[in-house]
Amino acid sequence: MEKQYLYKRLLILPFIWISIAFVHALIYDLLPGSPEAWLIVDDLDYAWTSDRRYSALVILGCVLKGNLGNSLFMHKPVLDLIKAHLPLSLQLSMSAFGVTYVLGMLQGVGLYKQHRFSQYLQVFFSGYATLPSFLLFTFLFVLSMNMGVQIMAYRFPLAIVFLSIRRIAPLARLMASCLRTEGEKPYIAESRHRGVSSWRIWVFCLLRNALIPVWIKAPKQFCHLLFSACIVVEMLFSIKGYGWLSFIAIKQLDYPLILGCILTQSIIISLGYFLGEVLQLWLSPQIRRGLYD
Amino acid sequence: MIRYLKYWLLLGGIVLCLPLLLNDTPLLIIHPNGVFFPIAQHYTEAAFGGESTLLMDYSAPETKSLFSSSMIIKAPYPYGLKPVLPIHVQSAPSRLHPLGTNTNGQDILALSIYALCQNSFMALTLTLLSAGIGTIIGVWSSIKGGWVRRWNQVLMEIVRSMPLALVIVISHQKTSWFIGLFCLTQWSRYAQLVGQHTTELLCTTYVTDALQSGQSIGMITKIHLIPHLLNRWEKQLPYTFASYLALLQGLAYFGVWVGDQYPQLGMIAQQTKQHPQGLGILLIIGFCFIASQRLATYIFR
Repeated sequence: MEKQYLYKRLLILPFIWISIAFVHALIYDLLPGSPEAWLIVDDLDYAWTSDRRYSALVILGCVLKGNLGNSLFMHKPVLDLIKAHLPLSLQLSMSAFGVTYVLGMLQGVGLYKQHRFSQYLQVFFSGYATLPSFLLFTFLFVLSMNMGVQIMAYRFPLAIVFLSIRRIAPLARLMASCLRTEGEKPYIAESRHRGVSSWRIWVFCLLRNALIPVWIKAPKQFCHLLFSACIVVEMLFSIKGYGWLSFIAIKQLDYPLILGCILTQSIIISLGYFLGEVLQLWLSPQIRRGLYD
Repeated sequence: MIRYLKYWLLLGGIVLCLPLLLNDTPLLIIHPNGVFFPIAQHYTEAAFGGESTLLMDYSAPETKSLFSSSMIIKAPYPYGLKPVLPIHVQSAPSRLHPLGTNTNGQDILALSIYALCQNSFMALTLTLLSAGIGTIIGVWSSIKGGWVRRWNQVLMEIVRSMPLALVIVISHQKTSWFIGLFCLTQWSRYAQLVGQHTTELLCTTYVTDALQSGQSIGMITKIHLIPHLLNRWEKQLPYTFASYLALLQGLAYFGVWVGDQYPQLGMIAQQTKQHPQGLGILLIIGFCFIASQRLATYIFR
């Protein structure tokens, strides 16, 4: 039953990607601009001298063949640009993701055990998360200029810090809440009563079950980090990754590059969400039992 | 809902009244030549007895003699969005300009108050519209179920793929277009949230009993679903408001904004990089953000 659900989910994904490509091709077709600069098709004349409403279909046809065309302003193939810029963003996101999850889980355990230091840290992380990144970056930039320090020399580590710190507070809250819910269950008290050692209760009972919601959210968090958060941080720190590329494309209305970036993003996000559902079915025995029932 | 509308109207009223409170143009002039409303209409120097037919500059020292026997009612704070004299560009905080002036010579305190009120009003409008549309779609698709729900999920995926920066660029900085396109692309967050909760509520015993007893789905939605949904909906609204405000100002920081005539907190933050008192101004902008989030928590409590 669960495999059937996953197969259905997987089968619908290509339909979603094609729909996204068609909707965006239609939008770009309807937007004002110079059609002669749209280099996506070999049969360019056919696309733009024929009835205008068919050009979105021609663009879609080329996209389905894997031809995303050339960037209007960078004069390079869109796929090559995405391949060149995506690894840096992946590196940045994975580093930030690792830092967030390690520190977030430690902070969550500290909050569950009600350590005073963890509570103070939580106030700091929550306060940090309320202010936008651009404001904090500008503050740091102006402060460093006044002190004569070049913060752009440490842009990569600082970008990781900026990306990870604002995500620690919600993760820690989730972790603490899951530990509290799990800790109140009767089998934990029973295990303690029967003399099971504390570390065994922690590792095999509490953490194993409390971490399920945390791991289920992980793929979605990673996708959000890669595509939403990275754009702002890469623009602030001038890191020429995927986020920088997509923002520049949007600002310049570089249609082929925008379409390529959006398609890449949609494919990776859909697969990330799908992976989240696979993890949910694999890790959560309740959902598996519910499906079988 | 009436409560939210009340606060929306109140914030809208404050935005409309800002020119009466922060303006370098006088509000009312009772002159021997008549009664004038410079805030509503442009007048030439000739209207006040001057020789020139150019537009009246009320702050110029040369024109003060024209108002020697007039009564002038000015705004409580005598600076607005217009630049002051060039010598006041990037000036430090002083008695005249409590937060100093920016690179364009505009008073930063006036800019910050205008930006805070207008940006908060825009974010509140977008929050309520997108939450309302998403709620209606989410509840409807959950109640209908089946192919309606599946198509709704596909539509949500398509709509989620549209980046906000592209929406602003497509709308060519026109506010009405932007609000329309924004609501068309941002409803999916609430549709998903409300859809999940509606599905949970439809499985509860009192709703199934109500369905079996023959109550119409409209009555069940009104009596059972909406009160529970509102409770969870309201908890999410302050975060949505804060995220929309931060998102719009982040884009304004990078030069992508809506409405040329509206000041943006992000733009003010960008200008502080070159300002000698940048740190102080950034603290004020940070305070503006925290104030707007507190406002949202108060409205949606």
